[in-house]
Amino acid sequence: MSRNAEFLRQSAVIAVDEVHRGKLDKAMRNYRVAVNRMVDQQFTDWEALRQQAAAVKDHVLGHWPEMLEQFEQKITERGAIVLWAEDAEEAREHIKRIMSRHEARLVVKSKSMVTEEIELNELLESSGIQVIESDLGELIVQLCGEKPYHIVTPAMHKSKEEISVLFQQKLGTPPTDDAAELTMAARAHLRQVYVTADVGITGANFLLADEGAIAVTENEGNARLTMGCPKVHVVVAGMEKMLPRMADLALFWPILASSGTGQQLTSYNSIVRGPRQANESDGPETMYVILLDNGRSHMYSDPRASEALRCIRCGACLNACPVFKTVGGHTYKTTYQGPIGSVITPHLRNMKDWQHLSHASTLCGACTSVCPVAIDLHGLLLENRRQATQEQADDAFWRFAMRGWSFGMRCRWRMEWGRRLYRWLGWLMPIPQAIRRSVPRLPAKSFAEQWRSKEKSSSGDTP
Amino acid sequence: MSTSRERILSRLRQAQPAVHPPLPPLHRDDVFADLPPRESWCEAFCTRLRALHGEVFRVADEAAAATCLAALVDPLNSCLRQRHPLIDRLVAAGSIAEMKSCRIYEDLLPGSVEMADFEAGITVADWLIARTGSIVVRATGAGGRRMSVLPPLHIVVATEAQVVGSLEEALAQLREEGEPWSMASVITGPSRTADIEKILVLGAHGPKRLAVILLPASTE
Repeated sequence: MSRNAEFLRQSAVIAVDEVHRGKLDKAMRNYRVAVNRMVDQQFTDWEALRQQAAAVKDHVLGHWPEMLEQFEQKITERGAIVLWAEDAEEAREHIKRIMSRHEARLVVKSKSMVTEEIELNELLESSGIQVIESDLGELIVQLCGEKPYHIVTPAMHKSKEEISVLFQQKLGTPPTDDAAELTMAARAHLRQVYVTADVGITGANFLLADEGAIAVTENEGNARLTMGCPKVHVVVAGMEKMLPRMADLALFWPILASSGTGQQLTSYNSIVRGPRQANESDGPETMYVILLDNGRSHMYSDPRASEALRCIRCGACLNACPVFKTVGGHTYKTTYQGPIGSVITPHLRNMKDWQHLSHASTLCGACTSVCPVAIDLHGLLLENRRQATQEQADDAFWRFAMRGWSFGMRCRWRMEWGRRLYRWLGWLMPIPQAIRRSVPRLPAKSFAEQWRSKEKSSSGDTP
Repeated sequence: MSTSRERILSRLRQAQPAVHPPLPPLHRDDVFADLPPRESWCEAFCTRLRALHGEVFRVADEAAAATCLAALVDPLNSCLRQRHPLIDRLVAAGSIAEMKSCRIYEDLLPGSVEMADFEAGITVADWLIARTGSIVVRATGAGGRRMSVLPPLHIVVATEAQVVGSLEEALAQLREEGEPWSMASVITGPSRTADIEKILVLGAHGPKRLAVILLPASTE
């Protein structure tokens, strides 16, 4: 089955799943209230702020290679090792070598979408290394054997009751429907993991060019423990995460927190500039930073699509999207779901298999209006549709159909006859199963015909 | 040099736009609606941190701070503290050392496995941020990376002189700091999660409780 057909089939099923919809609605309502309150309370001019954030990111894109080199030089000076990966496979090779060099048996990981992109957990497990997700939401989906449902809230689709059953089975905790008790069970489960793990793996929310540092944003403290306890710290970062100055965090931390979770600042915003220094009492002895390309430079070469490289992965566009709210995160079958995923996946992977996602949009523009770095998301979805159509230009059937359409539409009487033909033979048209509604019947007379007959009947009267 | 590095950089250079957008100046404080006036920074810090479920104890002098610290540590079985003159004085004055096994972190090292069992960590901080109720710690200044995050109770001993207005001021200070620190963290309230049905729970993996003992600016 093609990816498009699979997407349509699964969408049709989940769109009418009321239990799923109920869970999602609840989470989204809570999110929306928190975000609106925080944006009103915190900022005098949200629009100016996101234009500012977009301008900073555009500056980065203008000076991207120089900033990457600057970052590498600075962080290397403090003893970190920078590795470059052209694709997921190369990143996996780097990690394999790091694991064998440090004889890793147990790895603790904090939340990172880019490690999902390179399918890191599968790699480690197949090499006989135990890997444990430390973020609560990620731990839940890991124990379920699922993929994250949402880039910020991985277990958004799980109810307390489902998590309780899961924890009873996997962690041996007593049944409870209390979110606090469930959280404490996960806490207890991970305590010893942090202090016995050989390697800690984190992502990076930002790379800082001027300082040669990485910045990690979180609420639980699991990332701080992951980069504070084990002897080796591995950072995997998409290379578009760059900011020019450490001082830019004073803007980007608050916008990430308000758009991501509706907070002024998340509980922990940390900056790491290298492994443990000589004057410090603890910290990892070795630090690696893997800079991942994996299609990003390809996307950069597209002047229009490169705008999406501004993305800070806050998840606001997912939460605003009526399609995401209907089909949920798993239906996309991508690392990054929702509008941003639909925009970037065809560029990061390939247009042919993933362009159907650019149709998973009503083009309502809700995503664009909430984006904290002002990415024209629905504009880019349209752009992807255009590119996909151009690539399809060598499809003979498509070419024939479009030529026929254009032939019919360019002449009044041909259009009228086309309408009649459709009225008579329209019932023969295949109707996709995903459309759970009847195809509207065309009226007996077109607007032009109705107009003419009205004109005729009222021609004698004066208005 | 790895060839991947060169290939990636050359691809980027080829695609680099001819016109380079200038670096925009840093945004100004006035885009934030709730920046408190200078005279109420300490008050704002306390209010904000309490709203985030943090605990703040403003004390008049070191004697009061020592009493406060002793009261916090009293119900616990074990705690860890950073080696620091101010904390040393408070612990001595509050006679915690005799009552409890209040171990000095630096003596325990590397000892990460034992660390998971201590019930509190006592550290100093570098700066406190009025607008957000945050505490800034560096690995060099606050006794390493773990003490401020691993124990379930984090006790911060700080003075009013350390309060700055906003995050940008704290970042500017951090940048000027000459010491080669490897990690700094802006702590805003106790550890929290809302991963289960978006219900707020305190103490996910980091401290369940965050308590700040705030001494007058004149404290050394």
